[in-house]
Amino acid sequence: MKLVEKQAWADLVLGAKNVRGWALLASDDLKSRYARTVLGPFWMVLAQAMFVAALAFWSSSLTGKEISQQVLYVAAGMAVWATISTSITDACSIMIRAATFVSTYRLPVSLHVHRFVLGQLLTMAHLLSVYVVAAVAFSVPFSMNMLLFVPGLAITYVAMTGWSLALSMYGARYRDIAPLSSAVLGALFILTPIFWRKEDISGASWMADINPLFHILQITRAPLLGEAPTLENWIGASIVALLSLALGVFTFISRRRDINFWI
Amino acid sequence: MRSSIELASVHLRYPVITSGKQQSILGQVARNATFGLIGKNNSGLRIVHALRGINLKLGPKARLGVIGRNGSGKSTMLKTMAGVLHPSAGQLSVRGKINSILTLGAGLDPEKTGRENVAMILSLFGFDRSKMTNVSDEIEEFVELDEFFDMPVRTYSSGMSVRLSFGLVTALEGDILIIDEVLGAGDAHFMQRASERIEKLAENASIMVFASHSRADLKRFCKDAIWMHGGKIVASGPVDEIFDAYELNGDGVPPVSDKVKIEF
Repeated sequence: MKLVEKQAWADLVLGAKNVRGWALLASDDLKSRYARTVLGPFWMVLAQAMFVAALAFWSSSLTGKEISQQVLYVAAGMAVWATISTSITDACSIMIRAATFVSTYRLPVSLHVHRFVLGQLLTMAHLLSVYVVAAVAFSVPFSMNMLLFVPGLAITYVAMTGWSLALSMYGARYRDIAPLSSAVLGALFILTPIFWRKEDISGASWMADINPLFHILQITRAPLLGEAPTLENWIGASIVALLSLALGVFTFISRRRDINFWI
Repeated sequence: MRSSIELASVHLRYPVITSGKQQSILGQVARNATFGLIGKNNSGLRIVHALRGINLKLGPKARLGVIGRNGSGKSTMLKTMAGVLHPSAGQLSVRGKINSILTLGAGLDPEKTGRENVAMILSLFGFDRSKMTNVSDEIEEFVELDEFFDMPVRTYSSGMSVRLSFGLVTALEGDILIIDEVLGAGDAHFMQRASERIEKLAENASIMVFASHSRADLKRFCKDAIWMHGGKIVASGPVDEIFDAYELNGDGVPPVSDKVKIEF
């Protein structure tokens, strides 16, 4: 292995090991969001709640499904989807945002990737509060399937870490990846069953099956709704997570060396 | 462990981005897909060849000064030694823990107070709680910011930011000390205190590399010096000797020497 690659490995290992460091940075990011406005990230929660209510109302009048069912379905789906899609678009600017830090201190740059992914998880917790409130309001019964949320989230976390590693590097080099990915995600938002169900549109179910993000979505959303994800979902999501991680590590190792030139 | 730094024909090239088109993946794809027929003019990314074959060996007790005109590659070489930049070609090996002072005033969060910034950076470097308090108190005493130490950094003057930043990076540990021209900022009183602090660090350091335009500072900290020009080491020897030669050739045309000493 070449020296630069060894250094990139060391960066990756040291960054991952410094849990205290990235946990501190992530919580600090969140605190500074709270510091700026009275409601802080709860503005985001409020926006989410309004969006969910409107979408649930619209889709229940369209499909004739009970509104409580639609609220829960959309609230769970939106929390997960928003986390996934933000983790893709915002990962492009991880290193750009941390530029002064990266060029000033001899700290592993992968620290900022972990900081970012953990930050996404903290944001997700905020967004899920809409679902939790709805679940309590509609007195959703507890189901053992809900425990599957934990392994689902773990796989999602691995997938997010992978693509964040890759995009943190490519996003600094090519600045139009961020707008490009948000354009694609805008279309995927409609094409992924988030406010519609796979079984509602039988002609479109293949569209969900070939959509890698659908499987990632499903392994966390289905447990929230008290359902078990299908075997296909687990396999699909695991493949996505492994490929994403492999791509992330490979990109990081090969691109780490030049990151200072691009930020 | 014996500390050492070794550079073997190290080259460093970096891209200079002058247009957004150079950072476009769509442009890149179009160029690749059409074999350069589309957008070939946009690919003219300029590459600066900043280090051109640096050979250098530093062992324990090395105290090396670096002189040279602006743009001669001093900072690039120090950043490469410090591991901030990576060589485009050649080998770099470092044994020992590096502490580098390369840029000051950057990497501080303007919304946080001086104390909070210090606490943040120290934790990232893995200082435990009790050690952190000691080091933080020591920094507070050194930077002499008084009540400003507990105010947001955005209220600081640029000199104050530099002081905080200097106090902070000099509190980090390392047996290889790499310092790039940082004594120029700040008032006379602070510069005096700063050079005393560097002296103390230098006493404990195994290797020190120091870039400066000041003969007095170089003589104070270094035994030997190298003269850089155009990304190459053009001369080396005792500080005074090299500085004399450098001043004599102020027009920037150094005498070409094929026998430059590279081991210190």
